[in-house]
Amino acid sequence: MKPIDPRLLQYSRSSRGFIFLTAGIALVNAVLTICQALLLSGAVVQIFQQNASIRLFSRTAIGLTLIFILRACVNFFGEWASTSASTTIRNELREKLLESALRDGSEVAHSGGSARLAILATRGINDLNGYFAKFLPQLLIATFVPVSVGLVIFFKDWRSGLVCLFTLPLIPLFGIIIGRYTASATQKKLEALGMMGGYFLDLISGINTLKVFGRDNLQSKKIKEVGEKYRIETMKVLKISFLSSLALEIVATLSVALMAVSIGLRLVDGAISLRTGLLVLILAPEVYWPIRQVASYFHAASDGIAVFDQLYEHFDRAPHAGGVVIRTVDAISWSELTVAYADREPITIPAGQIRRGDIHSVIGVSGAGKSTLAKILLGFLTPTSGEVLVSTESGLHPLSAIDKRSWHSLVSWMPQEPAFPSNSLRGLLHQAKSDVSDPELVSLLTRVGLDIADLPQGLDTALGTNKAPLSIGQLRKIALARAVLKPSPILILDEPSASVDDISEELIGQLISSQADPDKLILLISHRKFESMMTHSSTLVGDQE
Amino acid sequence: MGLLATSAWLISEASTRPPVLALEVAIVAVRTFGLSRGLLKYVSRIIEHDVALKTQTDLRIRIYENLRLIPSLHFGALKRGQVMQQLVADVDTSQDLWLRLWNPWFSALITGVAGIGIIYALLPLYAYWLALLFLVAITSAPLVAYLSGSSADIRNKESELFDRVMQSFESVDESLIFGYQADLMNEVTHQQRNIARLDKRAARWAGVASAGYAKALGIALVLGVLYASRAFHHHELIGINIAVVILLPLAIFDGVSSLPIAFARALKVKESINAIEPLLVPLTLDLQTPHRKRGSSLVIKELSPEIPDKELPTFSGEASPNNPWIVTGASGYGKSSLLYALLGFIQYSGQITVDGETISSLSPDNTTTLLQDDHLFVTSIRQNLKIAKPEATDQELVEVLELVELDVLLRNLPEGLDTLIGESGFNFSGGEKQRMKLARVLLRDSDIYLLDEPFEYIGMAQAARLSKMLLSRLSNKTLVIVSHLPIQA
Repeated sequence: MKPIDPRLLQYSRSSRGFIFLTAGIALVNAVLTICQALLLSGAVVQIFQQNASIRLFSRTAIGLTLIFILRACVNFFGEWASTSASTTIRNELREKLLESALRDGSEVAHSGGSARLAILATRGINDLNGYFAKFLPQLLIATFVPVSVGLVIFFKDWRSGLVCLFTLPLIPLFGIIIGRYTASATQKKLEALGMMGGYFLDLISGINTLKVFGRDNLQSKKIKEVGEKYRIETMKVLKISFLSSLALEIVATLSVALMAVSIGLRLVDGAISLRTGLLVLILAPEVYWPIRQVASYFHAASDGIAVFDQLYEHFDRAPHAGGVVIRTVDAISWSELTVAYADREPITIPAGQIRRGDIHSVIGVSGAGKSTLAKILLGFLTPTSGEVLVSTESGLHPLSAIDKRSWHSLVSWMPQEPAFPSNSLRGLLHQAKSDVSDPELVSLLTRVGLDIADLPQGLDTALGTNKAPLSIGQLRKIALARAVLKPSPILILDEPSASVDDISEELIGQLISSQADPDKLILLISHRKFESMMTHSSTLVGDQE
Repeated sequence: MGLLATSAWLISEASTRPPVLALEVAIVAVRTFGLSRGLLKYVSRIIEHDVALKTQTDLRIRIYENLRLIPSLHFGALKRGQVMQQLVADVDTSQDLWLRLWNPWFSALITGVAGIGIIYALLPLYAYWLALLFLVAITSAPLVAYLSGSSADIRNKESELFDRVMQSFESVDESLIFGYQADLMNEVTHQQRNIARLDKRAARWAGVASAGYAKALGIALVLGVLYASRAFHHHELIGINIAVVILLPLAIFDGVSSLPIAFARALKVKESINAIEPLLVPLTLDLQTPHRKRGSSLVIKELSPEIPDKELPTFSGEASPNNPWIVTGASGYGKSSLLYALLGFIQYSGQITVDGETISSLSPDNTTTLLQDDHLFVTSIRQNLKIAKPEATDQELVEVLELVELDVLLRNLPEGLDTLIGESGFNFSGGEKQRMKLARVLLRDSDIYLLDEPFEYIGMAQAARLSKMLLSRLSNKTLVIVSHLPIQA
């Protein structure tokens, strides 16, 4: 775990300027601290030795006032700069995460679950605020201030300087040792938090199921268990991090006390002037203070550093190489494909081919791998063995060598479980094809068996996360309409008639047949026989009945 | 602070050269202060955090307990992201209120008052000024935090952002195919910018607060120098105490410096608490007649489920052992709402009777339901099935899985019943998940069964076999089946 990861500078351009700016502010801070101590100790000595003239006095007062105004300005600027930079950098990182997580489709990005990813992108990245707005600036202050103040002490009183020299390195040393130790505990805490997020979402999504089984009253115990687990993990991190700040405080306190005692004794001997003694004593806490402050922010920052590791995992995944850009597709063929899953038998799909003008159906019992074939052909899943070949205007290409974007522009798809973005029904359909008039949309919806009058606000009906008023059947009809609407040569329909009643099944059958035109390649995934009647070729997946 | 004051006294004392012996006392005092402060702080911090975390879990339980009483459809209308934000994030931040706000506030106040008290004993006039400056510093923190506030705005925006992000992850595949990923990204960027604007405004105020603190301290110090010198000239103050007067303000204002941050945070926390609060008010369900515990002859008369913005048909029918009621109709017709009404999840008009007695809704104690949005939890197959019957043996689980023709799959799973079902049943196909849910229903024994589209995602031939099996196995039970496919009764 490095306090400043070079990869950060690579991934976030804004962070570079920010670090220089913060370093500058830290330097000014160091100079001001020393000046303040000089003036203050001077003033006390003047008073004390009774040789203070009013003129000398007002000069000190003016000097001090100036320093404080300057300090106030630096503080203001520093605070403002670090917080705004933190916001900018976090936004940059979030956009980057979304880009890289969304680029490759769900199979790659969602391995840890979409809720976890969403937590990382929002709360996780927000946790970096502690790192950018507090920890990093303080870290730079802690490098400049103690060194420069320590040097001044050394020149004024070498004995106290020696104390600094020996005790100062102890603090970062402790910090590193404890930090190493905390790293794994922090990771665990983050995991516990992610687990808790997923757990609650799961519980909430299934609250109806729990209710109908009369099991909803037992979950409180479970929440307690998960909460306890989170508490234990958190307390582990906190105990260590509090212990570290205790250790640092003891080192700092003892060091200052050591200096104070030595100065006191030497003052008694007259071996040191009051002015120097006071100066060193005022400066001494300034040597330790910034480093201790780093330690106290470290607790917040270590959450952030753990987030970095997760982020880099996504960023480091290389983007797909460009690949061949294609414009037309004549045929798709595949050899026997296998896909290995971590926790179940590998799926085998027999070789097959779809040509222009074909309706190719994929038939098989549930779980045999019908949707897996769709995912492979959509380019979201790479088979463990076997290859998909695409015949295009520029010859035969393996699917893996084709530019993803150009491939996706040629494919239309009706997913088995549609997940619509927040949009109106009209907006959603326009995403598939923008220049369609409302009457055309309505007639299309009628053809898939969806009566526009059944929808609460017609074409303005809101879709998205809040899909409460529409039934699953209605949502799937919308997904079918969208898939048919997109003017693309390849159409993949995953179980178009599941959740839909008899009447619309017939309509859907007609619709699919009407889609068959000499230029289209249609892949129809189904467990129903009637649909296979009108198809030209088929692939049987899994054991047949 | 004790450390700083004693050190100052020590040095001044030394310079007036009292016997070395007197100094020893001071030296010991310096060390004790230093060490005890750290230790006390350590212990108190640990205890506080532990208590806060425990409170948090209790809070979560209270929220869940309330959510569970919300009738289903209202709840379904809540955005998932919002629920998540509320449950996880809000509860998480709520622990901080005491820790981050009142703790530093009180310690700052106590330090300040004690310090000013010492100064008052030495230089009353200066103490007044100090008190005034201290008052300004300690009150400006909450004031500035309030001004920079509008954290409710930030909060709402963040919650919207979360929903957006969640949505982009959920519909990632579709967004690639239909080319709206750029739109999603633009929306996220736009929302981020809005949040950033509010954040920066807050940062400006935090900067003002931090600068204000430095100014108050500066004025205090300059005044201290002036007052001390005047007092010394008039011999009102002995040498030793001058250093104390000049150095003590540093300690007095020390605690104030962290307050602006504490308050800015506290306001956010307050928002979180406000967001949770409605969930903490116990909800009561309006149930005129208690659930019917036992009974098997179900008669429904002119039952019409009521959903806002939707006209739903009226249902009448009856079911008893060996006489299932099969409800068919087009999708979106309102069949699922009928079941919700029977379960008391939504309002309805009409009459439900069991064995001739009118009831408000069926009790889960005597009814087994397969919902259309039935959920498989992110846990093992075993745990998912056991929701229906906690005391079920592995043998029973294997039996019901065999009934729904999942036995081959089960045998092929290396971890068998311990196989985890991923997020939204990720590792299993739609048909397998559906059959798993059917197995769960079969595991449970009750008089009445409500099944919503039981053969969804299941192939024709298999559906026919499973339907036959289901009807024969549950022949002596009361069955209500909602389906868009014909079912041979």
